[in-house]
Amino acid sequence: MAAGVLAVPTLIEVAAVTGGAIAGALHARKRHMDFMGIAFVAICTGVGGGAIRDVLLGNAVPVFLLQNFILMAVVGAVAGYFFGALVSELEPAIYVLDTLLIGVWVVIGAEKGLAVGLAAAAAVFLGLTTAIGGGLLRDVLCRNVPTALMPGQWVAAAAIVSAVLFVTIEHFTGWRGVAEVVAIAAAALLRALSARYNWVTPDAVDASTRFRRWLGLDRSSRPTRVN
Amino acid sequence: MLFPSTLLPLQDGIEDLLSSSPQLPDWSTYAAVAFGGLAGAAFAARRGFDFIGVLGLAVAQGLGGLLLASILLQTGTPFVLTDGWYLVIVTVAGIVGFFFAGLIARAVQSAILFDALSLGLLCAVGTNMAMRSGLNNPPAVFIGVVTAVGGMILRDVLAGRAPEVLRPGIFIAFAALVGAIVFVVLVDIGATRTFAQFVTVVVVTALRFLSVRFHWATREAKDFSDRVWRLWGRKPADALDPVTGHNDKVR
Repeated sequence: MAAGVLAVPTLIEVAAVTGGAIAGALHARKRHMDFMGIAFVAICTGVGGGAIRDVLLGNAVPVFLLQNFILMAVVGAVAGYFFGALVSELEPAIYVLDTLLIGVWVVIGAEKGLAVGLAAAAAVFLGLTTAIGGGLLRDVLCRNVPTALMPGQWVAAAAIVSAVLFVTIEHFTGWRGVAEVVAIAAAALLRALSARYNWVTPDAVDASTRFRRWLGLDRSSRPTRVN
Repeated sequence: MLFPSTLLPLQDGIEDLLSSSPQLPDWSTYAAVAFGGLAGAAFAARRGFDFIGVLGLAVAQGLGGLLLASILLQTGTPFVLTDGWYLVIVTVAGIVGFFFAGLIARAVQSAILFDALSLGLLCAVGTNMAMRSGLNNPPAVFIGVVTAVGGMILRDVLAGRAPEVLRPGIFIAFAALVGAIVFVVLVDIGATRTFAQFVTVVVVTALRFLSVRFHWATREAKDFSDRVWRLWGRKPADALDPVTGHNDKVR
């Protein structure tokens, strides 16, 4: 583990990778894949975020290749292949785990970015990539529109908020520990609240008509809705 | 180099340390890449892609796997870029594919052996690269499979289709998996990498070829959960719906 990067207990990492792999395997099942397909999607979901981050950083072999995370992911894939209904009962637990840990991946990504001297915006981007990369890869391989990019629960949005919080606090106060705790808590809280109160990330608002009327270019009585 | 002098087992050690290019004779990797490029170009040309699309898919399928492996292993600039021949070969394959798509598609159908050989070569090269980077066995197997099928996955993703190799059908990814495992096991019990690469190529090619010949196919996931429930002494839950994959029956 590089210096200055949050050390996560191995047990939590293993649980997260296996959980992500199981979620990916269940996703791939619905797409009628064979074993290799399910295993591939499971591995990509489980370790994809970290892999994309490390490849983008480009200064070391991705972490998942150095530790035996692939075996964990394969365990998840085998479980998903043979015992789909059984492991689908685990989905609520995986969901809770995912909600609690999303901030952790954000913080790790941002810290790895800062550790090699990246700008704040790049660190935020790396944190976001770490958090949602696995889901993106899974959706691309299953030929879905990536759920993280569509209006819905606050997942990517929570990750961005958490990353910005982390980078800002870290930059202005230098209290890394505080920044870590705040960022992790904020991400989990935001996501949990959005699930509880059905907050949905807004899709694009077209303000051009209103803007034209404000400029006095459009004389029509009412603004027209685009969609 | 054109002549397979790298096959001499004596060169294993120093070659391992110095070179970042694959250890099989270069012309075999060139051939594998050329075949992937042809297949990708024919695929694109028959689906109405324009010139750039055909070239793009030829590059994606021909070089995608090796590029992915190089990027994942972080071995500096990918060797498919430092060795200019790879891009030249794939481009030529793309141009040929642009003009002779129908012919190539028919040829690919009948030249399954070459397709299989290309899969085996890529698998051997990828696993060898991973082992040389000092990876453990499971990640090395993963890299081997990614090298072998990554190009096909990339092509399908770029063409907006569900990746064909991940779905039930003839042994492609499965053959690569078996080949990579064979490589890793052989190296573990003390065989030279060169020998292991040869065996891998043979195994993958044979599996891929025979699965077409005898209609072996991989299967979709099955659900054995109810047996576990019964063992547990609980009322068996509803199996996942075979069509939707959801557990959506009202209980």
